[in-house]
Amino acid sequence: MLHHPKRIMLLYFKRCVSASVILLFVKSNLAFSQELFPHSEPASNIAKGVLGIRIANEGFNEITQFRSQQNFRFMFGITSKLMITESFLFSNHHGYYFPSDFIKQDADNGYYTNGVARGRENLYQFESMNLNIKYRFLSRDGEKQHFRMSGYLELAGGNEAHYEAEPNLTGDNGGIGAGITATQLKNKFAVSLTVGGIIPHKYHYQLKDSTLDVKYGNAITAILSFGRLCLPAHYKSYNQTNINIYAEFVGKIYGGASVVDKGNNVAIINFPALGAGSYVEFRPSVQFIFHSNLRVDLSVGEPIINQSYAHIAPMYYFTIQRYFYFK
Amino acid sequence: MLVIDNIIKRCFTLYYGDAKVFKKLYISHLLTTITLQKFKLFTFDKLFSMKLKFLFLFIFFSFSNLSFILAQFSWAQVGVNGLTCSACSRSVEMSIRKLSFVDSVIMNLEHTDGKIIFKKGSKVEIDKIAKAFTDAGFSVRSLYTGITIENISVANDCCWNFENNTYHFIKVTESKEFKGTVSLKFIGDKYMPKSEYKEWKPYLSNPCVSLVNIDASSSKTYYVTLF
Repeated sequence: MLHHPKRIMLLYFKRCVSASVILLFVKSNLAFSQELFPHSEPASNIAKGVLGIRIANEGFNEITQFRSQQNFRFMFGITSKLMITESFLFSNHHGYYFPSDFIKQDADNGYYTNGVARGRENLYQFESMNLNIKYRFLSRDGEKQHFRMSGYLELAGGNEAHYEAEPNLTGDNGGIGAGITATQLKNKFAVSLTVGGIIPHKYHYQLKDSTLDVKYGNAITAILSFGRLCLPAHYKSYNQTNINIYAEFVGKIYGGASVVDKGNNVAIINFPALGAGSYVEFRPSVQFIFHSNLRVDLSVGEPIINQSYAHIAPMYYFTIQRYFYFK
Repeated sequence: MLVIDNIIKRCFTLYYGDAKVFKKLYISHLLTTITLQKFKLFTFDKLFSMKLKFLFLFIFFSFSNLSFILAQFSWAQVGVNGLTCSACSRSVEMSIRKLSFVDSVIMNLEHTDGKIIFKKGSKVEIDKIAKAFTDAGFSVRSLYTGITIENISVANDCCWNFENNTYHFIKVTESKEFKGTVSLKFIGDKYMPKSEYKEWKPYLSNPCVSLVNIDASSSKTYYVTLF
């Protein structure tokens, strides 16, 4: 299994990204920084009237399955301070339904749940959509520096039967999320902190006459991002290829999942993946920007404190983005 | 005929306040009259002489600004705050290019500024330039323009009307006469950081003490200083 060509390729990819990020962070001594973070949004918005299209791919190995997710994301600047993002997500992560014996009931124990199946083969299908509205409410701009803050509200529509308490509004869950981002950019560094909360919708259990819902945990999320520009050393034209490096720490604290009957909790699910938890992941990235427009991000993710049950490390990310300007 | 010509002369003098301009316009008016007579329209002229003269007058007023340009904004140099990446710089450039009076833009990311060249003969709206920068998500650090003027005398708190906008000169230490290209620095909260604007604010409350080409239809007032 370890010698599988795909595995070797992914391992090589992971090592390359990690090594180049560490090397460039240590060696680089340049006057510009970057805030086009691959795993979080900066407080800055897209320019007014500009459309950005991003195709974000992520993947990981789950026993015998390679799980992949594609996020088709459309971003538009309504005003200089207000931007709207609509994402359409597709994946083979989960099915639309739980197995029929997922929630059981008996006279002695009441409701209880069976374990979850890992490595199950799922169809590649439409997962969810996510609407994100971001408003920049503070700008302290200086020469080659700025401090900005923005707030966001996200609404997600999706209803996947997933086996993890951890909510995720870009994929697994429908629900509502909100948060605040602060980004400081000064000479050599860009630092950004995003703190937010997620309240997922209930998942209605599939049995026709059932009044049962699965309630996933609420969550608090935090992403700390650092970014830096490596090349070019001096800007001369838009045709120069830009190389940026990023180091991001993605954390989440979430409550446990429970079975709800007409609004009342009837069972706490004790299976580890469906219990409360928290984790922090380190996600280094290398970013290439061609002709000051076409952006390509390569990234990997590894847990450093605990781990997520919603995906299995290492995670691989590959993103392409382009801006479209209108007359 | 002489009476009507005198009326036109008075109207033009009132409108432009400048005898030189009147001469140019008056010659043009005479040439038009002669041309019409050549085409045997003078009988028309006889019958509807008053109406036709007022029609001429109307046409002259409508096109007078386009026919005789006293001044022309030629370039602007804009310092941009918060600009750090080439993709951002490109967004700014694309935002500026949308303006109808812009001929070309050259962004310099090393110095975080941009040079804008204006189309000849087009009306330049300075506030639209500042708005284009903020629309792209950045702040204006400084805004300078080059304007080519035939002849102008500038003193402190002198107001000059040009293309339906009033330009109020502030902090001018001694009155000067200008011919050729003059560099102006624009003063206002849209054109500089707030900290710098606070220093300039006391100068903005003074009224105009002398008026050049002043026009009642002036829509905006820009505060400028010589640079």
